[in-house]
Amino acid sequence: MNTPRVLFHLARADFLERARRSSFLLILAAVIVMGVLVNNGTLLVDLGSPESTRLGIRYRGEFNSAWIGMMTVMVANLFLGLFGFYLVSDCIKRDIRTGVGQIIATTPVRRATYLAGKWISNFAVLAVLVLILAVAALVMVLLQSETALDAIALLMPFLAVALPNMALTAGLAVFFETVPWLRGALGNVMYFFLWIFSTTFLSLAGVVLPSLQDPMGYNIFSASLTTAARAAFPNEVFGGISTGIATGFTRKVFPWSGLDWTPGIVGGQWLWALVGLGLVLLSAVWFARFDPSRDGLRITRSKPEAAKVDGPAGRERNAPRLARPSLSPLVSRLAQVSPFLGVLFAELRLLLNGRRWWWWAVTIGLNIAILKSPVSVTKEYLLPLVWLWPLTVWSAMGNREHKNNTSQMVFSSARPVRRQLPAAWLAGVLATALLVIAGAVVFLTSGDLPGLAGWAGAVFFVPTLALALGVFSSSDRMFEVVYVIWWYMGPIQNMAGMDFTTSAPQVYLLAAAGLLLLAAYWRGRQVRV
Amino acid sequence: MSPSNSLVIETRDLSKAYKGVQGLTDFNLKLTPGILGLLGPNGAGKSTLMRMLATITKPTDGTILWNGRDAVKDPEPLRSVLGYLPQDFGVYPNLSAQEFLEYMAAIKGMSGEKARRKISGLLDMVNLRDAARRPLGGYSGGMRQRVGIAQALLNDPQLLIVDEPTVGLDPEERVRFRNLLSDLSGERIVILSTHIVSDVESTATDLAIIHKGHLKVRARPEQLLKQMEGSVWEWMATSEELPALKKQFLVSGTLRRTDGVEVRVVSQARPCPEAQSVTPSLEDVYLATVAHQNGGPA
Repeated sequence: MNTPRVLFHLARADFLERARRSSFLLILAAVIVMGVLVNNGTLLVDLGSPESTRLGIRYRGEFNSAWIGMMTVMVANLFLGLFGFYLVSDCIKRDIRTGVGQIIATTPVRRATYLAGKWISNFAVLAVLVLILAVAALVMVLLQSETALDAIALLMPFLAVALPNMALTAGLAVFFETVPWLRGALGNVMYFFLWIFSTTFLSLAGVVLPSLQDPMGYNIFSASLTTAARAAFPNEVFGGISTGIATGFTRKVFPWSGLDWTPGIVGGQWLWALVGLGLVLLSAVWFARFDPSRDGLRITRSKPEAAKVDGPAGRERNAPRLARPSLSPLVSRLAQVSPFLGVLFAELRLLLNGRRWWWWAVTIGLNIAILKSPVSVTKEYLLPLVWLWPLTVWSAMGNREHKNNTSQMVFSSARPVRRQLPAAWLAGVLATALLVIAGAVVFLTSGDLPGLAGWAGAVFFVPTLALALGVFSSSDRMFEVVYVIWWYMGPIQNMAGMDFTTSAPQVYLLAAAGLLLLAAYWRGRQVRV
Repeated sequence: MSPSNSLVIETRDLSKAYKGVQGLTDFNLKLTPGILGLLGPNGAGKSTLMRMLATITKPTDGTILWNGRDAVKDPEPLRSVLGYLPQDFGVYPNLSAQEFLEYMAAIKGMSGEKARRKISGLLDMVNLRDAARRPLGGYSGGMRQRVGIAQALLNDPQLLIVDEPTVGLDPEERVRFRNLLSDLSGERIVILSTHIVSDVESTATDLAIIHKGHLKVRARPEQLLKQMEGSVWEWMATSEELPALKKQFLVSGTLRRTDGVEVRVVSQARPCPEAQSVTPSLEDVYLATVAHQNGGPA
């Protein structure tokens, strides 16, 4: 078998499949916006120390090719390292979902070859996004540079830092998709924390292997930038570099002509690409080659329109045995009282049924711990935790019909937008209230009415956000990513206005109402299509 | 002896259990070139058997031999000559049929030139030449099924496994596909699993009926039909009599007429004086076998 040809076609088909989706245009637009934000100074890289920050002073290099290239790469690594992972880590799941994997499994293609093809495809998608940012950086140099264009200084950060980091991200995506227990919500959450702490973790790699710096390029740029800044401002103290949005500072400018891109630095960064490939090859150990009996792959039917054709026409054929359909009497009775109640009960069952005993044990354990622990422990640790635990309950909302291929049945039923969607939403709200009930009890018994109001706001907001993102994206991934980031910035980091469990419940209730209307609008469009 | 005549796939005591549920039990089957029609009720184990023969799923017990070599331990020789069309067949919606087939050809290990020639011929064969450059997402169910058939035939397979291949095809395409299967069967082993007994009737050279994971019947269709001779009856009944007849006999078909209902029954003895013995069909054979396994009236 001609392995390079197989790799090329595996990667090509996968890349074309993704690049031709309309959603890819949205991603390209988002990356272009990122380039604009770097261009106009909203997103930037600078240096400082706690002391200089307190005095309102930060430091940046002069806008030359090297600085703009480095700055764009740092921003790209920061954002594509996170969102890029979530963007590309769907290629193996898609082969499972569509059933194409079953056919691939019958071909002579080897597991490692298949996974390497997916890795190349992931890398190609991310490399296109990096290329767009490189073009944006070039435009920035031509428009804003304080010196002439230096193509090498501008592009080397992309070639030597951004691309190997994307190769690593592509490899991590394959790894997370292949290891069964990392494939779902747990993997999405774990990757987020890996990304948060990656700079710290991966800097340690440099201690073990001196030529192996962190893949984001933080260490190699930081050392060079600090040296240049110290030379310009010898009496001042510099901490590390930071990337992000920081307004209201006076920025002192120092000259920096870029790194001396020695083969050691370039080779050291590209070692991360090899680490990515190593992860891909390692993941072949877990890759079950689409055997549904080996790792519980769920293969949904991909041809709802392909109804079974009956035997010879004209004659009614009788099966030897016919089973009478059996409907749940409880749902039927509720439906007799009110059709909405019947749907609500059914949606509640869909939301909560099928969870394993240990999931319920943790849920109950968390709620008991909240009731029994001191208030300070409850507020600092347990309440944030209980607001993350039901992630998979929420992320199933709004996209179950697409995921299980029941949309044609559900959307052709009576009032899919006016009855089924509100019932699904209310079921989500009721389930949320139930799963985090201990928080309400604590706030009530301690007379903390603002806390109770915050709890109520979150009970409405979180499932509504899940429903809206689930309907919009037809997948559980978008909510899982958005929510985990929000949860980290809000309940964990207590960033102003982001903590949906404590701050301004009226705002979050209003947001929930708006999201519900948006969900109804999107669902209406899906039903009409 | 031509190479095709040496093709043999054989299962020996093949078993598969899924978390305590037995999907297939001690299944023994030996196939040589020809078309095997695989019939059985839902959940009988047909898909499990085909997934194991297609090297997707490993058996819990037993072996599969391809030309005498163990295909469970070393599936590569079988995979290189295998064509498989699963029942739940999906596509990449943003690729065209041409691109999808190029992709499948590459992972089946075909060279570029050979793949191009083969794809061109297959697109003509499945009548998709004009739509070959359109995204698959815009295809109808039948058109996608034809793409699936084309990919299964790409590598000129010696073993072709097709699961419900005519689902979604219009009558004309169905007949084309049946004829194609018949043409192919002389030189290779074809396993055709379907619920459409008429597909088996018109193409299969061999028939196997699976029930609850066991092989119940294995014979040539004409043998089975011969065995059934004198056991299929038709007569005119009234609509009111029909429910009682369904309880008493294995009714394999009913047809409304202006003067009542024409009832077709499988029964060893003449069910009533008016009943006329008629030529049995494979559907009668199938229904009688399944009913017998279920302890039904036949």
